[in-house]
Amino acid sequence: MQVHELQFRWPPMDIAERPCLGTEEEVENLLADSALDPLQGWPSRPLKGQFIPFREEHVMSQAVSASLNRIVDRVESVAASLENALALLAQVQERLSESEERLATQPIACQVTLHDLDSELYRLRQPLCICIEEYEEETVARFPEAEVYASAATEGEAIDLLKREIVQLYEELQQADPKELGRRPKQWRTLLNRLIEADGQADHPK
Amino acid sequence: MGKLIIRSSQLTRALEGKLGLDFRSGSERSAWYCLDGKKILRVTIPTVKGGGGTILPGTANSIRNQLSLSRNQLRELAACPMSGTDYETVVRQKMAKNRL
Repeated sequence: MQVHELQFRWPPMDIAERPCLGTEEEVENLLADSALDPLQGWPSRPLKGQFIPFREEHVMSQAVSASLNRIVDRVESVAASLENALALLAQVQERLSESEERLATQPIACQVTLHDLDSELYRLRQPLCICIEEYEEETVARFPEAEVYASAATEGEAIDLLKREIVQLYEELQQADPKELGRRPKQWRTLLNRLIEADGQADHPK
Repeated sequence: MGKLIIRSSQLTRALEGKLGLDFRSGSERSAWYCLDGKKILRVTIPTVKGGGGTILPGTANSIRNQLSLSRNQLRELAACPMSGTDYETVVRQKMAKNRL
């Protein structure tokens, strides 16, 4: 039968979508129910009892139309997925730039022990722990207990400047009237008096 | 947490104008903030060649610590919103809580 031949010559069609064209009666019923385009040379409704041969072009056009519909559906879903992916990418990009900014402001920090103040007038009674913070464009040396810092391009320069700052603060606190000092400056003074001494005060080993 | 971007000249102007700090010359310039005749805080600002540059983040952070301010408060102090009186209020509040 022609119908059977056509049916099996159309492998791309899914079994579920394949029209049930077994017998003439079934074809008649199917065509009676379907709205076929009369412009394509197909009667919108077959005559009773008249068998209409199944045309390959019709099957093909239906299959192509179904495939196109599926493609359109897929394109739409792909477009929606792409939109979601783009939104996610924008979020990731935003977080990345935030993290980069945070990293740029977060220093690489370490501790360094000072054994000397590089001063002819003063010396340390005991080693002093300071913080070194390396930023992208500068290095900051800090002595947090006395809230002193110095900034320079390199660690060595920053440490040198910090030593000068510590000496300067020590001298300012020594010269100041204790009554004029607030709570924190008093603490700094006590701390620096414990850590620093005038070079002449030291007991040099003979 | 945004980047602390403050122009050196802007901050110096704010510290001298609003808080009445007097910076001496030197490689690092320091000044005392006094309240009720007492030295409360010591602030050091870097010497800037040319005058108009931006303070680097590490330095800005250190100045912020010395002034005992948050990032936003330092921004406000450098720009217009925080006046000298506002800063005094912040310092007095911290002194009352024994933090300064």
